[in-house]
Amino acid sequence: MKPATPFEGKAQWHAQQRQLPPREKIRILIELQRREAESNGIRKSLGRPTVSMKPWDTEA
Amino acid sequence: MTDIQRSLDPGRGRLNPAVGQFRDVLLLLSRLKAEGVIHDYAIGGAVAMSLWAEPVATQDLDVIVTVAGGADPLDPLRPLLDWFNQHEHAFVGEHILIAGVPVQFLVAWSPLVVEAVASAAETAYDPSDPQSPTIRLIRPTYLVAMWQTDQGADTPRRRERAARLREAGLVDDTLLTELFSRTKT
Repeated sequence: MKPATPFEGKAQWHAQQRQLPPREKIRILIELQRREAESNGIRKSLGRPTVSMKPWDTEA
Repeated sequence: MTDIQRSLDPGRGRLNPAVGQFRDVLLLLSRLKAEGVIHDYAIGGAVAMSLWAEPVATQDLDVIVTVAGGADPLDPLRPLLDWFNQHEHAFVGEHILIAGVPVQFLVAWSPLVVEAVASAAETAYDPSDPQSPTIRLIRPTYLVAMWQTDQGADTPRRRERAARLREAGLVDDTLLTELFSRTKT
């Protein structure tokens, strides 16, 4: 069903994310770690503070 | 190809090939319990929050354990650390590297945390796999209680995590009030 407002659509998306099985959530968590580590390269090049993050060497 | 593109394209151009699978961490935790190295365990911290609500990037995996009654109160993790030494696992600072995941073991530090471990939720890690290991998670209300009652734990980041659990409708306020009143007495 099409959401009535953009915020309702976001709420639906977040609700769907919460329903994902544990393995899929761990996969996303590792993905987010990798993106955070890549963003650190950009932060560093801009002279901004970096966030401590080392992606796990594992698969979900 | 950027790193993000690489990471979205599984199996191609990985910067570091994975050394393990997360399920191996869960299997090892079950083994520690089965062999009596620990009495029980449950996953806490940001990973528990991620699995109850939505995933967030976090550095390590917090595993809270209870130990047998005979453990040295001044060095309660010794049997566990000895086990990992004997099995040649790498120590990285305060973490033990298991299947590529830095795991921080913490002994349950208060009656509230002991109760949180004992009442943890156990579920299949991968419901689509009949051979899936189980995963034990500290329940959301206990996570919030731990973050709000333990000295030093009530940080802006943990308040945000608590808000995420609340937003998801996962916090039982009646139980939370009871846990607070018990903790204060």
